[in-house]
Parts: sequence; structure tokens; C-alpha cells
Amino acid sequence: MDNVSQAAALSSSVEDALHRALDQINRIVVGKESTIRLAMTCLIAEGHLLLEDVPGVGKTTLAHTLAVTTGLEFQRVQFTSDMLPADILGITIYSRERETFDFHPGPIFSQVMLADEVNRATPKTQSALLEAMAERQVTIEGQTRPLPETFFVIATQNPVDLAGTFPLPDSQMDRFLMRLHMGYPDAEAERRLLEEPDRQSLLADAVPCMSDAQLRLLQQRASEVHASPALLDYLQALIQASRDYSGIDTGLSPRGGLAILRCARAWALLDDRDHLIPEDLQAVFVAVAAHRLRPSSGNESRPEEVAAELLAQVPIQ
Amino acid sequence: MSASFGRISALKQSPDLTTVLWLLASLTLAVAPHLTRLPLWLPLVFVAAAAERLSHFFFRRPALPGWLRFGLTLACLAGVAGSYGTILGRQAGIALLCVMLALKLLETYRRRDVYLLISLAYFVVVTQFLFNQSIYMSVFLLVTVVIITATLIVTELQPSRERHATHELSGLISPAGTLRNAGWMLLQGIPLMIGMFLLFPRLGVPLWGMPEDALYGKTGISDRMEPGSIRDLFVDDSPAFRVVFQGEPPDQSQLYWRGPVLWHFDGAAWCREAPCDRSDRDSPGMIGAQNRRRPPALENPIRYEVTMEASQQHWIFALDIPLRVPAGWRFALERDYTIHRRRPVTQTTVYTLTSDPGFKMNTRQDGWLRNLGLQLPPDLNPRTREFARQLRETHGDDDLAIVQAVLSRFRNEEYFYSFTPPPLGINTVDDFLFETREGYCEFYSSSFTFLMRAAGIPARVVTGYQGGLDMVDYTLIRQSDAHAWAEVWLDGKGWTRVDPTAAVAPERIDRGALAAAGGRRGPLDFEWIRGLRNQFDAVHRLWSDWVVKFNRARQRSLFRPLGVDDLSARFSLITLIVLGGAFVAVVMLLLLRAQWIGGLDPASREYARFCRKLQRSGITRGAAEGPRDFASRAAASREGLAAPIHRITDLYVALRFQPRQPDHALDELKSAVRAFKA
Repeated sequence: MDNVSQAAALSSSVEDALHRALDQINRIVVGKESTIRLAMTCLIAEGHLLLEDVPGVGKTTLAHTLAVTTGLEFQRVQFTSDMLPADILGITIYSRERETFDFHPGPIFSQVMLADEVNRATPKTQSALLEAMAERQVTIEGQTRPLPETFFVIATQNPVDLAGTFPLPDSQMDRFLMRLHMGYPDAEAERRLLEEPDRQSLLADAVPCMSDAQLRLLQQRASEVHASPALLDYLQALIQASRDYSGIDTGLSPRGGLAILRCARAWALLDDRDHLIPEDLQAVFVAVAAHRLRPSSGNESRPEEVAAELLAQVPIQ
Repeated sequence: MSASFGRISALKQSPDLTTVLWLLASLTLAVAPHLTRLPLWLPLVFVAAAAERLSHFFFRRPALPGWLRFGLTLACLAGVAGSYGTILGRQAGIALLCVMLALKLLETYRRRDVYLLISLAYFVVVTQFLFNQSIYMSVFLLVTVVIITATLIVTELQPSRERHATHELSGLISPAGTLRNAGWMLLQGIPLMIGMFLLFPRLGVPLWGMPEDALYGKTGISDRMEPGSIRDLFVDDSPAFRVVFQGEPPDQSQLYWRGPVLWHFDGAAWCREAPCDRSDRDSPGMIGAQNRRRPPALENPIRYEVTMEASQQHWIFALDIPLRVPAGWRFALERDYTIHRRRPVTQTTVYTLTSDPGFKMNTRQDGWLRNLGLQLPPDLNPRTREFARQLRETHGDDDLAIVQAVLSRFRNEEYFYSFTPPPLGINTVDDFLFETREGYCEFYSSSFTFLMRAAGIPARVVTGYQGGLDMVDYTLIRQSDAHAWAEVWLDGKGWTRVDPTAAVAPERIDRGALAAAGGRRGPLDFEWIRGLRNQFDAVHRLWSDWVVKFNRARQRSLFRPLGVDDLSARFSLITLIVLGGAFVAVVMLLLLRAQWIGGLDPASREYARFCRKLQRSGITRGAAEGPRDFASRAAASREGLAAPIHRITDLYVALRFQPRQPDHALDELKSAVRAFKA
């Protein structure tokens, strides 16, 4: 097949692939359509995902399913307080046979890395991970090594587990494109969880639904979704409102604004649209903005609630 | 800071030709109604000043030197003082204001001066109401105010006119556009104006002591009748008074409205009492008021309410024969049944009277009145005296026969009813009775009375109005209904009305003076114009009732149904402030909304219209609700409208958010929104 027809085949099947992928994930992680859709959006928007919730609500399952379904290479790392940066990045070990120092890549050299309980690691280790996430490359002993072209970190953290945790500083929260909460399943989903076979066995049966090339095509297409001046007006109004809003100490940074736009584009693509509408911004706003906003000291609301309030206050003109 | 400096320097700018032309138009219109009251030289000063101001645009000339302007000012001051004998008072004050307006034109170097003149022009407009409060004048002044406001806009826009190319502002600075803007601005002020008018605390008496002639009014009939005085009234269709009868109005031929009775004839003029050159009096004269201790019993009373226009006279008019006048000292029913008002009628006055057409006046002869009724100027009109002597010889003591003989002479011989009689010599009665034989009521009543007196029958001239136009709920009596007739004293009957004009031209009494004169009174006197005028009188009455005469009492009666009994100044002011505040708030909101809507792009404006339509049917779009979300929600609650709702939303989203808009999408959106019915 020549390149053109190959591209045509790829593009014709890409939507199918995407929808098949979403279907499969929804079969395994039940009752979490919107979370799954947002997670997929995050992947297509080439950003990293932070899942924050109590243990046992399916964070790991979601991460794992996402990786398997998109056909990406998957590594899981359980963060602990005695972890060192080298445990993530990899180490250079002297090889006696070849009389050279060989680099043994750490788990970060994978396409999808699940960083479980990321807030249990020391700040030093956290920052090694987060630097790698931002730069998409790792510098070990003076040598810079690029990470795979598709590099997606899903980190989870337990908000309630305060003892022995090192909360991520605000500046590093910013590295995550989205922060999602899983939440408990609803009654129907809960029933299915109880009735159906174990998730692990379902996961074992899961098949990759798209290729690397297809994922990259999706990412490429998402970046081309049209944002009209009217839509950018609305986005700017949202950003400005976050800075003026009395319940917020620190509003959205320019990077935050860009993040919203990037996610909204991916969201529109999931909706098979080539242009953004205000609803796209609204759909991703809370997930993208909440962890970047610091509610003012007197404000008892959670950042997610503040972000939703903000959304309700800015009129669409 | 720089903006305010810029504004001040813009005020120092000299006005351009457009501004000055508008200014001249405004000033001319503002001053024009005063012209009849101003000395003749004053308009000339005004025109000269306007010409001088305009000449700056065509010839490069330095402005007039300061000493010359000062000298001119002094000269004009002296001129006003010379014309009026004072520079104070209403008339002289207005003249002074106008002349200063003209002189200010000479030194209108800067736009600031233009603003000053515009403010003065507004003030001059207000001063018109010191003289004339008619509806015509008000309409004229309203137009003037529109033009003055337009001038204000033109002046204000001068800097923008200079900065921008004309075409950019053409919609704003074209005369029509400016007038439209000014009109629109004033229109917005109308609710405030009405509120102020209704609520502003009214004083029982005018705030400023208005001279008696301040309120408009035609002189109408006075207590003096000389050749031509009634004829001047025939061409005047303005209302004299209006009457509302309690019960059925009497027959047209019975509508004799009694005014002053004239006793004294000096050969040319009839007047109430000798001497005739005393034209006006403030108190009942020699005739004197009736003894009112014993009011006569009424057989056939007619009660009615008269609303009389200002006449500046002491006489008020009543249906023949008035017997009851309002109690109190203000009205006096005199012995010849003339009603005298202590103060002249300087503004529209309402009074209730009772008359009895069948009443017999003074059946017992009063010697003194009898002598008054026989007075004749010595030596004049020998032929008439001779004719009277012959009549007396023919009929002996029968006074009634003499009266009838004279009437039948008028009826059967060649006498004509005409508004354009030939001139009479010094023996007016002789000339009329035996030579010209042409005239109107004045001539007939005058000569008839003279003839009766010459024959020894006490007689007098009664002036007033005859007839009236039935306006369904009231009867309108116009100046043109003015009439004069005679009364003779007959034994056993007392003073009896005799209308010699009726003998000559019965149609005068049946159908009015106009019919008797045979058609038109002037080149523009067409039937339809008269009809229009009479219809317009109803409008006029509303105007006078609700605007000119809107006094404290009427204000109270207006607010009483609303439960406001005590219309104190404090209540008025508080209500005014509250209503004014509410009005300003509403205007601000409307402006903000207009700005919001106006700031939107066309697609959003159409979409906003669509949302308003849905809102009226109870589906309100949240401010932060996206169009697709709203469309799904609206379509879900109004399933029948799902298709148009989605179509409009598709078009709107395409126009606002898609990279390439479909052709004619905006037109389609417009027509779809217009056709949309929620």
C-alpha cells in the first residue's frame, strides 16, 4: 500500500477504532462513561492524567484498561516513601562481560506509566517523575535520553491517606493536564460489578483497539480542531473570570488556558466535530482547571465546586 | 486629564458654518412668536447681527472692536428703555432678552458661546408661555425645541465632523438625521415631562404675579359698540365661551347670549354709560346692581354652566334673561340684567347661571331708567326724527304698533343684510335708514333703537352672541356669533327683546351670521375648514381643561381616585424623586441592553432574538448555557418545535464557531428566527 491509500485507510478506520476503544473500556470500567471519555480526551490531548480518589474505586483498572485498549506498552510503579529517582528513571550498571556501563531503563521508558499513589514518594522522587513528564526526556548522568513518542503518565493519589504522604506542590500539579475523581459507582454499575466476572479476567480478555499510528493521527487531528474568535472570546472570559473571582486566590495561568483549549479540542474530536463549541470548553473545564485553582482561604468549597461555580457565572455571548 | 483638556480646548474652537446656520435657525424660531410684541427696530438689529456673523464665513474680516460692541449694547438698552419706558417688566424684559441675544451673536467666537446662546434660546421658548398658552403655540414651540436640540447636537459633533471624513458620519450629521436624533431624545423625555407636569406641586395662584393681560384672550364684545366693532368679530371663529346645559338645550333661535346693555349713544358709538370715552370700569356704574333681597320666582328655569375664555372685560355672558348669578361679591346682576364681574376675565372662568327666557323685565317703569332709555344725541339725524314723529302721528299711543311698523318696514322694503356696507356720513342713522339700507346687526339694532327713542319709546341696545354650535355634549359659542339687538319698554310687558336683524335676515337667527351673509367671509373661508375648526374646538377644550387650567384642584381630583387625598408638596416631591429615579434606572437598563445587543455580531443578535422568543414561552436560556445544550433542552420541552430549534442552533453555531460558514447562513438564520414562533 502506498502512503496515500494507507493514510486513507487509517483515517477511515480511526473513528471506528476510537469508538471500539471507548466501548471496550466502558465494558470493563462500568458506570464511568464521562470519566472514561475525559481520560481518553486527556490521552488524545497528549497530557498526563492525575486520578484522585479513595482506594478501590477502579483507578488502576481504568489506567490499565486504557493502556491495553489503546495498544500501548504499559508499566506500573507503586510509589513508596523509600523510592529513589533511579527506581523510576533507570540506572547505569557496569557490565563486567562487556566492560562498559550499560543503561538499564527504568519503568518510565514506557508508553503508559501508571504511577500508583504518587504522593507517597519523597519530593525528590516526585520531581524526577514530573520533570520527565514535562520534558519528555530523561537526563541521567549527563546523558539525555528521549522518552517514547507516546508517553502518557497516569498517576493516582489518595486524598485521605494523609499519614506518610508528600502532597504534590501546586507547581507540579500543573504538569497534569487533568485531574479526575472516580467516585463511587452508581447502584446499577455496582450490581454489575458484583454480578459479572472479576475485572482482572475481563482485562485479560481485552484486546488493543487501535494502533500507534491511529492514536497519533487522532492526536494530530485534535490539534487541528477549529477554534473560532467567538469561542476564544468565551475562553478568555473564563480565564479572566478565574482571576477576578473572589473565591479564588490564584486564577488560571496562560498554561492553564492552553490546557483547557487543548482538552476541549480533543473532546470535540471525540464528538466527531472539526470545530469547538462552548459546550466543549464547559465539558473539560472542571477536570482541567480545578487542580490549577487555589480557592481563597475563607472559601470552604472544593476546587471542583469553585470551578463549576465559575462556569455558571460566565455568560456565553 | 488629557481628555478633559481636550474638551476645554474644543470649547475654545470657533464654530463652523454648519453650527452657525443651525444656531441662527434656532434663534429665529425662538424669537419669532415675540415679533408682534417687539418694537419694530428690534428685528432689524437681529437680522443685522445675523448677517454680520455670517459674513465672517465669506469675507475675512476682523471681529467688531470691543468699544463698538459696547456702544451697540448701550444703544440697544436705550432703545428698549425708549420703546417701553422701562427695561423692567415682562414686555420690556423680553425685548431686552431678544436684543441681547442678537448682540451676543456678534461675539460668538467660540463654541462655548454657541452653548450659551442655545441655553438662552431654550429660555426664550419658555417665555412664550407668559403670553400664549394655546395648543398651536405649544406645538410650534415643541418644533422649535426639537430644532434647538438638533443645534445642540450639531455643535457637539463639530469636533468629530472635523476629525472624520464626512461620509463616515453622514447618517449622524445630515440635517434629517440630526433632527431625528433630537426628536428621539426629546421623545425619551416625554414620560418624565408628563410625570413632572402631573406631580409638580401646584400653587393656588401663579408663582409670579402675572399682569392681567398675561393670559391670552380675545377682547370679544365690550361695553362699547361703534361701527365695525362687531364686524371684526364675524371673521373670528375662536371660541368665546362654551355652555353645558343641565337638560335639553333651548332652540337655536332662543339662544340670545346677553352681554352688556348699551344705553348711551353719542351719534357714532353706543356705550354703557355717558361719557363714551370711558371705555372700561372696575365697578358697577350708575346703572347699579339689582336689589337682590327678593329673587323672582322662576317659571321655566334653565340651569347651565358657562366656561368663558379670557376676554379682559368685566362682562360675562348669560342666556337671556339671567336671573340667578353665583352668590358672593364677585358677580353683580345689574338692573338691566347685565352681569358684571368685579375683576376682568383674565383667564378661562367657569360659572353656573340660571336663566328664564320667559321672564318679564321691569314691568313697572322705573323713571330713571326710562329717561336713560330715551337719551339721544342732540341735533343729529333729522330725517329719522321726522320719520319717528310721523310714526307717532300714525299710530297714536300704540307703542307696539310703532315697533311692528318699523319691523315690517325692514322686512318689506329694500333692506339688505351685508358684511360690507357702504360708509356712512355723520348722520349715521339717516344715511343707513334712507340711503344705503345695507348693513348687519350693529346697523339695524343701532338705528332701530334710535328710531324708537325718537318716537318716545324707551329703548336700548343689547350686545352679546346669538346662536351656538351643538358639539353634542356642550354648545360652542364663537366670536363670530357676536350679535346686537334691541330692547324696548312696552307697557305691561316691560323690556322686550326686538331683533330688527331677524326682520331683515331671518336666517341670521336660524342658521347664523354666515348663512345670512350668503357664504364665504374671505378667500380661505371654506366650509370644510370651518368644519375642521369646529371639530378642533373639542381638542382645544381638552387642552385647556387638562393643560392650561391644570391647577391644584384638578391635580387633587386626578390623584384622589388613587387614594391620595393630601397632595402635599412633600408628597409630590417624594413621588417625583421616586418616579424620576425609576425612570432613569429603566432608561439606563435599556441603554445597557441596547449596548449589549448592539455590541453583538449579527448572528448573536439574531440568536438573542430567538432566545427572547423562547423565553416568552417560558424556556429561558441560562447565561452560561451553550447553544447545543439549550437547543436539546428547549427541543425536549417543546417537541413540536424541535426541528426549527435545531435548525436555528445549527445555523448559529455554524456562523459563530465553524471555520467556514455556509453561504447565506446569516440570511437563513434571520429568516428562520423571524419565522420562529415559540
